[in-house]
This record gives sequence, C-alpha cells and structure tokens, in this order.
Amino acid sequence: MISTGRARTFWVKVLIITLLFPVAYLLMLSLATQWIFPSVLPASLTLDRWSTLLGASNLFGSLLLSLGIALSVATISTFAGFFSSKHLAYHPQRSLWIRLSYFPFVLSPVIYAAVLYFYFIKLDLAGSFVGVILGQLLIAYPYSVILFSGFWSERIQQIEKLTQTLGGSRWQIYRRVLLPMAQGLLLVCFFQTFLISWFEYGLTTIIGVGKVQTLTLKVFQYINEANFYNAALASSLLVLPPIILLFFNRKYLFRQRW
Amino acid sequence: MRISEQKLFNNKAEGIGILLFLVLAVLPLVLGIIYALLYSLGVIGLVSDGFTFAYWQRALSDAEFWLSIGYTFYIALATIGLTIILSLFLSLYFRKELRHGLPGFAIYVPLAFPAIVVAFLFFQLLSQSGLFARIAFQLRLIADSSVFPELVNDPFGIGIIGAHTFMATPFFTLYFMNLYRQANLKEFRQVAESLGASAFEQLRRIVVPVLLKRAFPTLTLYTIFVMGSYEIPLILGRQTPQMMSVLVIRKLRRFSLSTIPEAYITAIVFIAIIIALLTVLFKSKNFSYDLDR
Repeated sequence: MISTGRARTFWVKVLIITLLFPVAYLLMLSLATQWIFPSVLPASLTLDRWSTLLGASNLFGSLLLSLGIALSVATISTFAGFFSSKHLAYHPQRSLWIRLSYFPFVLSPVIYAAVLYFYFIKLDLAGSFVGVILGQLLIAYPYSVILFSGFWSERIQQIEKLTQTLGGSRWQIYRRVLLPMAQGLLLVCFFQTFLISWFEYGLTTIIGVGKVQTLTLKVFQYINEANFYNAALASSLLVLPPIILLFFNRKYLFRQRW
Repeated sequence: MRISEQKLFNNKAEGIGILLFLVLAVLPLVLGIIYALLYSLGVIGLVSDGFTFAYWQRALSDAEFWLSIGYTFYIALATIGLTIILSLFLSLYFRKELRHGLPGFAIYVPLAFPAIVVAFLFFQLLSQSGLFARIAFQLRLIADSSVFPELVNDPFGIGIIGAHTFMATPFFTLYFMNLYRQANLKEFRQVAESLGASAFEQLRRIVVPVLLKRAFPTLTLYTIFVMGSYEIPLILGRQTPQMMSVLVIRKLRRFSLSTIPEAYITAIVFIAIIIALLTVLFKSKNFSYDLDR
C-alpha cells in the first residue's frame, strides 16, 4: 500500500515536471548566451536580451501591437456577441442561427483568410491594423455568440419583461439588469476572445500580408532566421500573460476555443 | 377594452442584432466560398480563360491532393485517439491530485500555449540537435546527432501528433473530470460495486462509455480543429505529405499563378468536409438538445 502511494506521488511529480517544463525551457532558452549541440544546459545566462526588449526594440513594438489588436477584438466581439446573441437566442430560428455560428468558428482560420483575402484587398484592408482586427473578429464574434447563447434563458426573458413593466428603458435594462447578471460570462468571453486573438497566426499572416507584425509572426520570423533565442523570448512574451491570468482565475483559460 | 401585449423592445433592435450576425458570421463565409468556387472554375482570377472544369480535373487527378486529405484525417484521428487515451488515464487515475495544489495548477499551464509556441517547443525538443538528442548523446545512446531518429519533419507526422496531443490532453483531462462529477459517476460506480462489478468492469461498462458519449460533440469539434491547424504542421511537417491547410497556402503563394485555382479547390473541399462533419455533429442528440432548447 505504501509503495503504491509512493509510486503515485512519484508519477504526480513526473506529471507536474512534464507540464511545467516547457515554461522553464522557454525562459532558459531566452536567457541563454549560447546553447549549442551537444550541451544539455546553456553555457551561461544573460538578461541582455530581456533588457533590450524594454528599449525601443521591434519586439516591444510587436508586443504593443498584439496587445492593441487583442484588446480591440476582445472588446468588440464580447459586446457585439452579447447584443446579437440575445436577438438570435429569442428568435424562432434560434437553432439555425446557432448552427450557422459554428461554421466560421471551427473553420481553419488560415483557409478562411485565404478565401476572403480578395475582399480584404478590394476594401483596402489587407496589410492594415484594422484589416487584421476585422479578420480576427470574423472568428472571435461567432465564438462570442455561441458562448452567450446559453445565457438567454426563459428566466432572463421574464426578468427583462418585469423590468420593462416596471418602467425600465432599454438602456436601463441593459445597464442595471442584463450586464450585471452576465458579468461573469462577459469576463470569460472577454478573456477567451482576447486569447483567440493573442494566439492567432495563420489568419493574421494572410490578412496582414506580413506587414502587421504581431508577436506570433515574430516567433515564426525568428524560427525562419534560426534565431532560436529571440524566438524563445517572443514565445515567453506570448505565454506569460495567459499564465498570469491563470493565477487569477482558471475558468478564464479553461473554455473551448475552437 | 383591448389589452395589447407589448413586444419585447422593437423590431429595429432585433433587426440590427441579426443583421450584425449575418454581416460578420454568414456573409463572409458565403462570399468566400463563392469567390473560391468561381476562381476554381476559371470564371475569375489572374489566370482566367473562361468557364472550365480543367482545374478541377487536374486537382482531382493529382495524387498530392488525395494524399493531403488522407494525411489530414490521419493526423486528426491519431491526435484525438491518443488524447482520449491519455486524458482518460489522467482524469481517472489522478482525479484527486489534479483538483488542487500544484498539480491542479500545472494541468492548466499547457492551455496558455499558442500553437506556434508549441510547434517551436517541439522542434527544439525533438529535432536531431534538440534537447532529447543532446540527452541521448550525453548518455552515449547515440554517437552523432544524425543517428537520432527523425521525430520532426518526419513522414509519419510524429512531431505534429505529439504537439497537438500536448495541447489537447490537459483540456480533455479537465473536461473529463468535470463530466465525471456532473454525471454522478462516483455514485454509479458505488452501485455497480455493490452489485459485484470489479473496478475494471466499472470503468469499461460505465465510466468510459458515459464519458465518451457525453464528450462526443466536443471531441468532434476538436478533431475538426486539428484538421484545420496550420502553425504546427507548417513548422513540424514536411513538404510531402502536407495537411490541407498548409497545402492551400503553399499553392497560393507559389510563384506560378497556375496553382492558385488548385489551392482554392483544396480550400473548397476542406470547407465541404467541415460542413459535412458539422452536419453529422448537429444530428447528435447531446448537441441538438443544446441548440433547440
């Protein structure tokens, strides 16, 4: 019995190391001065790469750009999805609308971008900040609709009618009833759509034509240049915000995002 | 006196809500399919010579096209199969440990990884000069990096499957743990035990079937997600065979304009497969209940 308990503890430790190792590895690679075959550990560590990041480096610009795009996509898709999902959920064709919202959401973003690229060129949106936001919205918004569709129950509708009967205007119903009631879900949706945008590569590279250099594009660029140390640094910048988010609330990270 | 029931807000708000949905979710998809279809039929595009089925005939007789479809299914099914086995094992064997403390935190960490970072990480770990090769060298298991087996950019997609499984397993472990609790499987197992079922029989006849049945919609959606993945096969895959998403972009970005219609044909076929899979999924009882509620 004791040996079974010890074996179990051992395997739990192995599991923890396996799960946490990637973060440690990326951080170590980003700090390494030189780490060539066949060394298992880097020759020495340096903070130089991280400190230059804080200067006016390209990577810092990409970090701000990714942040700007992700915050815009999350804000717009959360509120637009909340508003639309209400009308779709109470519509007699609810089932059809919800089914339709799955198609753009599960379709490969890069293939979706490939078939839409022509329209982005015609609208003069290819290769622009706004174009990338719009492109990512085409995925994040349907996700938001799906997420909120479960919120609009009969109970919510009755509460809404009651508030209306008591003289509440449309704006008051949203501000004082619906938004406070959906607060938790709004936060989940905001963070999830933020992550959809933050993690996005394929669609961004097509619609952005490589000009909108988000952090994910930087990672790929560094891999192509065989600059693995900078790729690790850019990767660490991508991974750290969601891990910080994980400290605050796990439910923001554990949701279906495909 | 006639009392008329006031409508919930007015039709204008409803109209805007639905119009927004049509513009952002339905119209782009329809326009994208129409454009790809017209391009593939030679009606529009830089190489257009008028309506023709020639591009379709050429694409459908190309072995690479069929290989790509088969390879895409192989990667997705291998990933989901491995993920199911690993997630069931972790969620059932380490259920108590994974609920709290450091293990409870660590299981969430891979969810914080974007696909491109996972691809980079697996390249760094599994390539012939990667960390595992270095460890093997230090342990004198290999004399040279070239002796280390090809685990990335390999013909069997080992690196691709590994990377996808790394991303999916923690999610499904947590998902199965939630389902286990929601389905009251602990109580079911107690009843089965009192009726004389062994621990293995409880798992085989109750726990695993219930978990898989309930998780079927999510497992299908994840399979579709893997089929459409791009970054991981782009970095960890090879020139041939290629997953459909990578093939589409490769054919679009070639210097030769003649491959563009084939790229759109591959895209259309991919979209058709996804629509077919989703249609099947929507007929699943678990799924349609949620939609029609």
